[in-house]
This record gives sequence, C-alpha cells and structure tokens, in this order.
Amino acid sequence: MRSYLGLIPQYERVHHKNNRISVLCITLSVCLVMAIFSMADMAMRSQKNYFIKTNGEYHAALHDVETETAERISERIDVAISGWVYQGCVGMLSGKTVSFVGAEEETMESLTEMDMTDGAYPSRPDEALLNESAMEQLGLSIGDNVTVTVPDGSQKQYQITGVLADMGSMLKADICGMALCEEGFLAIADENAADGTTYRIQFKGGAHIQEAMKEIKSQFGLSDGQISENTALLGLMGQSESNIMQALYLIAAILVFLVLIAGTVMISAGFNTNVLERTQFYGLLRCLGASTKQVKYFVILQGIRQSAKGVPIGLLAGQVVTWAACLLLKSISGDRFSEVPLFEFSIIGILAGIVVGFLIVLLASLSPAKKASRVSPVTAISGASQLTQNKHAANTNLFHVETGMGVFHALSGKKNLFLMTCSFAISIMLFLSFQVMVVFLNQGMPALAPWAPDVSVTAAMGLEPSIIEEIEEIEGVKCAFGRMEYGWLSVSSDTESGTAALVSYEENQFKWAKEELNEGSTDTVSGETGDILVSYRDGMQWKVGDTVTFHTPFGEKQVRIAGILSSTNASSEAGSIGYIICSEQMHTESTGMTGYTAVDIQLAGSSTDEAVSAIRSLLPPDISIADKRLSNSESQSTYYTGAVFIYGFLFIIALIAVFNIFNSMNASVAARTRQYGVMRSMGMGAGQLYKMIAAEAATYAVLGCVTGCVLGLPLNKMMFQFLIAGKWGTSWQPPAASLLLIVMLCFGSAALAIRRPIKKIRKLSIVDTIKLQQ
Amino acid sequence: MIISERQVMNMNILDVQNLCKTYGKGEAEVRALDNVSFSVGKGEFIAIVGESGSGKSTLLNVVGALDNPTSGKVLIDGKDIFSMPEKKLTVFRRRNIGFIFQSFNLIPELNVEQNITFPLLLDYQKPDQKYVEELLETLGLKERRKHLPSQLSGGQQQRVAIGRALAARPAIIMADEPTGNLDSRNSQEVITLLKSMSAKYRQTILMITHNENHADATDRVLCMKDGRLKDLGVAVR
Repeated sequence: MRSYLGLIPQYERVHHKNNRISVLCITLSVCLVMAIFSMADMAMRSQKNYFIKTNGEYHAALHDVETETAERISERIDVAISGWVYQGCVGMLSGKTVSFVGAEEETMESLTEMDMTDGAYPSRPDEALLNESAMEQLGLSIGDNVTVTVPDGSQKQYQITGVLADMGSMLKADICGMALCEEGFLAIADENAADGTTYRIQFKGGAHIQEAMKEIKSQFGLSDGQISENTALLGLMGQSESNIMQALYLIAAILVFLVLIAGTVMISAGFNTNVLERTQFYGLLRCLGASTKQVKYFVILQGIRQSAKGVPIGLLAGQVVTWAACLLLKSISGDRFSEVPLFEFSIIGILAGIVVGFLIVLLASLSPAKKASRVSPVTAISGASQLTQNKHAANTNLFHVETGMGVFHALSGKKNLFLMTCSFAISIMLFLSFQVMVVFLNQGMPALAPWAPDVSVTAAMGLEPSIIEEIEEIEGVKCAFGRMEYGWLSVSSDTESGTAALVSYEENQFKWAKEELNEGSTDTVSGETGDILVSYRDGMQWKVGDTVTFHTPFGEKQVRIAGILSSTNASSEAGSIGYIICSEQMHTESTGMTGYTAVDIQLAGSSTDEAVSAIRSLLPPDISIADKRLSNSESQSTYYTGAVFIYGFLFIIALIAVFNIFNSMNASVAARTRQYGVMRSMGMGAGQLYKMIAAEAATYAVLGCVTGCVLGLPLNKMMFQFLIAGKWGTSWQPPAASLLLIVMLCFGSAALAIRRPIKKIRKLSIVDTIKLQQ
Repeated sequence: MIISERQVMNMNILDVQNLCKTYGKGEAEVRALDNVSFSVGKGEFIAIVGESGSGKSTLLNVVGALDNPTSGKVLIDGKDIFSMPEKKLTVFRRRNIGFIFQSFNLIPELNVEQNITFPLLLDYQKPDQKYVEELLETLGLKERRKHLPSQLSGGQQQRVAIGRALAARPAIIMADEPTGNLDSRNSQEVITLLKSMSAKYRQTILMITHNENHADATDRVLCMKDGRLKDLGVAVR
C-alpha cells in the first residue's frame, strides 16, 4: 500500500456487498443516459432517412422564380445539387386521375420523395414511369405503351420505361402517379404547373443553411413566400428556425437536464447511504490522523472506482436496451420507423454514457464526501450515540408505538420528506398528464376507430344495398357496411339552424357509435322512432331531447335528438351544423335516396391484395375506390410508436421514483440500525420492526399519492379539456383506472423498496446491531 | 404442598447451568464462556467484575437472551429461555428482562415518559399511570417528562434508561457498565438509585462494572476470568 488511498480496494473487497447498491445506481444512470442519447441518435437517423424518403433530401425550395435566378443559384459554391421539380398537372388514364411529376433523373432521385423501383428513367418526352399499383391494375409492364389524356384534353402516348414506388397519399386518393423527364412535363404543362413547381436546393455539408437562405433571399429579392425550408429535415440537422423545431429542441434540452438531475440524485442517494453505513470507519480514519480533505478524497476516489465498475456495465446494458428498442420500433411501427438502424452503435450515446457516468459520480460524491469529512473522530472511539435533534416527540397515542415512530421517521426529515413526496407526486402527475396524451392519440386517429375501413368506396349515384352481401362473399373481406350520405340538408330548431350532412347508419355502425356517445342513447335511433344522433362541434347549442326540423324535398319532418356523438363515420363533408345520423329508413323517407353513396370494407387475413383486386373487379370502373391500408398502418404505427415512447418515458420516471424511495429507505435504515438493535433488545418483535419501516415508506407513498392526485387530477382535467373536450365534446371523468394503477404502482414500489433493508436488519443479530457504530 | 415464606424468598429467579459460548473454530477458537453456572435469587443486586475480554458482556448478552449460547441452559423464573421459539422469546424478553446500557440508548424520537413506557407500548399495554408517576418521582424526572433525550444530561439520560428497564416490572435487569459514560458524581447517583430500586421493588439486577466501589454497593460479586466464573460471595464493605 503506497498511500492511504490504497486502503480503498482492500476496504471494498471486504465490504463488497455494500458497494453493490452504489454500482447498481451508477449502472442504471449510465444505462438510462446512454439509452436515451442512443435512442435519440437512432431516432434522428431514422427520421432523417424517413424524411429524405418521404419528402426528398432538399434543404430549401424556391417557388415562382425565373430560370435565370435558378441557374445563378445553382452556381453558388455552397450548393451541392439543385433542380426543378414540376408538379400540379393532372390527366386521365383508363378513367382514373393521373398526377404528373417532372424532373431530371438526378433531381428525382435526390431531391424528391419519389422512388424508381424498376426499369430506366425516362430520357425522352414520350417516356414515363408509372406507379406500381396502377401498373398492376391496368395489367401493364415495362416497355408497354399507354394513352393518357394530358391536361389540355388531348391524347398522348407514352412508353413505360420503369416503375414508380406507390405512396400512401396516391392510394388513398385513388389516383395514379406518372413521372416524366423535365422536357416531357414542360410539353404538357398547363397553368396549374406554376403552383406545384419548385426549384429545390441541397446545400453542401457544413454549409450554414439559414445564412445561405437569407443571402439568396436578399440577393435575388425573393419574398418570404418564395423560399421555404424543408423544416423536418433541417430540424433533424439542428438547422431549423421553425418555432415548432425550436420548441422541440427546448423540450429535448429539458429532458436531458431532467435525466442528469435524476441520475445525480439517484447516485448521490446511493453514496449517502454508503457514507451513513461507514460513519464509524470515517471516524476511525479521522482518529488515526486523516485530515478532512483526505477523507473527502477517499470518498471521491471510492466513487470513481465504483464508476469504473458501473460505467462499462451501464454502457453494455444501455446498448442492449437501445438495440431492443430499435427492434421493437421497427417491428411495431412499420413504415414510420422503417429506416431505424439496427445493431448500430451511437458514438454520441456512448460518449454521453461515459461522460455523464463519471461526471454524475463526481458531482454526486461531493456532498457525501463533505458529510464524511465532517464525521467526528469521537464517533469511532466512543459509543455515545449522537442523538438526533428532534423538536417534537413522536405521537404514540394515535397509532401503536412502532407505527407512530415509523410515521415520525418519515415526517421528521423535512428535506427528505419533500424529495420523496415530490418523487411520488411527479410520477403520478406525469402519468396522469401522459394518460391524456394517449387518449388524445387514440381519439385523434380515425385509423384506430373500430369502423376504420381498409377500402372505401364512394359512389355519388349510389350503390344497391345488395352489393354489401356480394362484397362480403369475397374471400379476405371481414365485413362491409354502407351509408347513404346527403350533403346539404337544411335543418332548423329553436336554437340553431343551418345545413347538415344526413348520414344513415346500419346495425354495425350503430353498435360502434355507442362507444362514441358523449350523452344520450343510440338505442332508439335505429328503430322507426324518429330519433336522430348529432355529431359534437364547438359551440353547439343542441341538447339531447331537443326537437329538430328537417326541411326535405318532400316536406318538413320533425325529429328528436337522442344522443350526441364525439365523432362520426362519414365520407362526405359536414354541413354548417355538422352531421346528423339516422336510420336507413328515415334517410330514405327524408331524401328519397335508396342506394349507398359510401361503402366501407374491412379486410382480414393475409391475402388482402387479392381481396382488393376482387372488389375492384366487382364494382363499375367509374367508381372511386380508396385503398386506405397503407395510410391506416402508417397512422397505427404512429399511434403505437407514440404510445411506446410515452409509456417508455413514464417507465423511466417510475423507475427513478422507485430508486429514490429505495435509496431513501436504505439510508434511513442505515442511519437507525443501532436504534433498531436497541429496540429489539427492549423486546420489539421482527414484525413490529417491519411495521415501523413499512409505516415510514407508506407515509412517503400516501403523502406523495395525495399530492400527486391533488395536483395531477386538475392537470389531467385541464389537459383533457384542452386536447379532447374542446374538439370532441367528451366530458371529463376522473381517470379511475389509470389513477388506481399508478397509486398501486407507487405503493408496490414502496413495498419493494423496504424489502432489502428489512432483510438486512433481520439478518443482523441484536448484539451485533447494538455494537454497530459503538 | 405448602411453601414457606423463607422458601419463596430463596426461590431462584435466574439459574445459569453449564453455559458455554465459543467463537471461531480450530486454532482460532475462543471460549468466551466456559461452563458457567450460577444462580440469582429474587431481589438480589449482583455485580459482575473482571478484566476486559474476560467474558462479562458475553455472559450478560447470553443471559439477557440477546445472544445464543453454544451449550448450556438459562432459566429465568423457571423457564428455559433458549427452548422458546424466536417470537416467544422476543415477547418474554420484553416482559421479563430489562436492559441498561453504558451509552443509555434512548429512543431520540420519544420523550422521557414515552421512553420509560416504551417496553409496555411495544406490548400494546396501557401503562399503569400511578406506577409511571412513582418512577418519574423516584428518578427525579417529573419536571422533565416531556423532554426529549437530546435535551437531557448524561446522568438524566441514564436515569431514564433505568426507568425504562423498570417499567415492565421485569424479572431481572441487565446493566452493562451503566456508569461507564458518566462522571463520578452521576455514577454514584446511578448506583445509589439502582440499589434503592432493588430494595424498593425487590428487583433483581445483574450489573457489569469495573469500579470496585460500585461492586461494593451490591449484594454479591461474581468475577469472570478467561470465560470462567468465580463467586466472590457477599461484597466486602
């Protein structure tokens, strides 16, 4: 042993069990920090790739600029690639709308979201790429010729040279996509092309994009509307000036700060426990002549040695968590996170883990080091207990003595009580706030509604109701349901009048409508009772029971509002006073319509492509068939990703709360071990000791839960009213299930946290416990 | 069978039979208690003396059921304490054995009165208020009943500890160097108090001490040497 610090490894070898908790705290903090930073890095990479895939890798787009200006911009030293992207013109192909896009190959490949999956890029004006599903539907292949009605109404023949990848927006709108070369597009362009055409620019790496954009703007005298940034991509590059992106940067910074604080508190609490357990040892060091500074160094070096153990394990665990989360994201969120890198390392994450691991330990060990250096040498040599300076005695009248003392232990340490209460309360508040966001995600995604169709058919002229049965006979179709929708029904009542879209529901839709009911009932609406349902809208004055008059082409009809729905399933646009839902019979009586104007189809099983083809072949060619499978799965994946992130964040918060109570209970027990021994000698049973420690933990949990509920419920209500009630009219109700869950989790974690100290105390013999620190 | 008053007087409250306690194994084995046997009658005030490491504290801890012997028996009030299961032993200790420690070991969160009644509170018993008042009066703590231990002097704290040991009217009190942390004036006061309590309540007290003068104040002196006990008989005054 060369110096007194050489004592550390020897001391740790003997007390290796006591070091475990500190090493565990460091491991967890490093794992947390590394996982968060790595995930953020992976998510950024994935989102960047995704935005490049969906928006194109351009940084700025110019609108309505002269060719000469564009040429001069392309000559700038900081511009890597630039080019024209022409859009906005539509034509017709075999009765379907075709959207044209025109660009040179390099521009198309690098600066647009469009992708060529097969074949060659058109080089002549009469060559084109056609999207995959249109090729399939029309039975075309590369090399075939197609005749297209171009914007001026004339017919033009194109040779298909390659395949354009499908996009969700195209399929949903039931249109085809055709890509032409620049010359080919300009040959057919009409006045609409000016609106959709942009000159896109990709700057070189390292360029200060915002500065460059300002320069271009002032140099060429462009207005604000003429130059726009690719906010999503620039945002991920940290170069966006968009307000939303600035707010996101701020949130990210706050989250990093929160994680640092949580990590510091966690490790600090762990070290504190260690110091309390080793008071006598530090006293002995002081007795033998160690200066306060030496004791301080001793504790700090001890921390760094523990870091050396905890950081690598934490890094390893963080990497595993990151990979698992990436795999999970990729599997649940499909397209949205399709570009998430798997099994890659994040240098930022690893560096953050290492730096934060050692930095936090250094910060966290300062306070215990100070405490340790203040330990009086007397502590080591005298058995005189250093009595806690309490102001009041514990209340033993209200509870049994052990319970009373447990409660007193919790209440006597004001700082600790505040931290513990906050720890629980923040967990509950965050849980209750995020719960609203999950409800919002759920409510705001029509793709998640039980009626969400995979295929939507709209026929202005109406389809015979018998079509439903025919569609349902197709293999792969789960169910089909139709609606009659009448767009402009004039309605009036004592309080409001205007136009409404009258929509008929059948059995299935009435069943699903029950879940959307804000108030009233749907039961009487499906019968011949003259009752209707109305959709909620902001500022609505109608109430359940009000009478409304329909001014129909066949005369006036009085109906009663039986219920108000938060959302409705309809394809047509709402009228000035929203949607009115009625039975099919009432709809026919009021409007004279007999055929369905909208038919929704839900698919099941794996062979959905065949089912969609069969549906197309069953219906007349002029009917619009919207394939919503891709956009539905995108929405669903967004929901699941959102939910995973929200719950993941909540899990981390809960974990920190559990660790805080874990450390706090450990510290509390460590500080009172000798006292427990004395009480045991006085005849306190093991059960009574357990009750005393449990009472302390329960006090923290009760106070935390009460504070959390008192602050969290109004927050929940406020967020609910802001996010949900205003939009869908759903009335707020206390989230009993969520509340019960988080309260149970809090008490569960408190119960878990006291297991270790109780086990430790039970193992100690009474004589050893009294001797401790004596 | 009729038991005479004299027989009752002579009934042993504590019987220690062939008590052994060893630590370690093989060459490192230490016999802290080596076949120790002795008896204590009700109301006796006994001093255990001996050099450091002679086994005094071990003896007190084992007899007080805080530690287990390697072999031998301890009978308190006729009951073999080590044949009892842990739970029963805890309750037995609570009701029949009082402790007074060198470092007082009061509960810092409880006031004087609560500290004194602590063994009764642990037993969920309602303290006999008359007896508590009497104890407070005898111990000179009436004015300080609501004070916390941190507000008391060392002598006062040890008096509270004596009160706590007496509160449950135990069969026997174990005092491990009760004057070890006190000055001579307070030490003398504590010994006088213990002596008077022993006489007043016929309280059996087993006290470890290094101080010969304090040993002189007791009824009998036992001497420990290398784990063996020697009865020195009635203290020489």
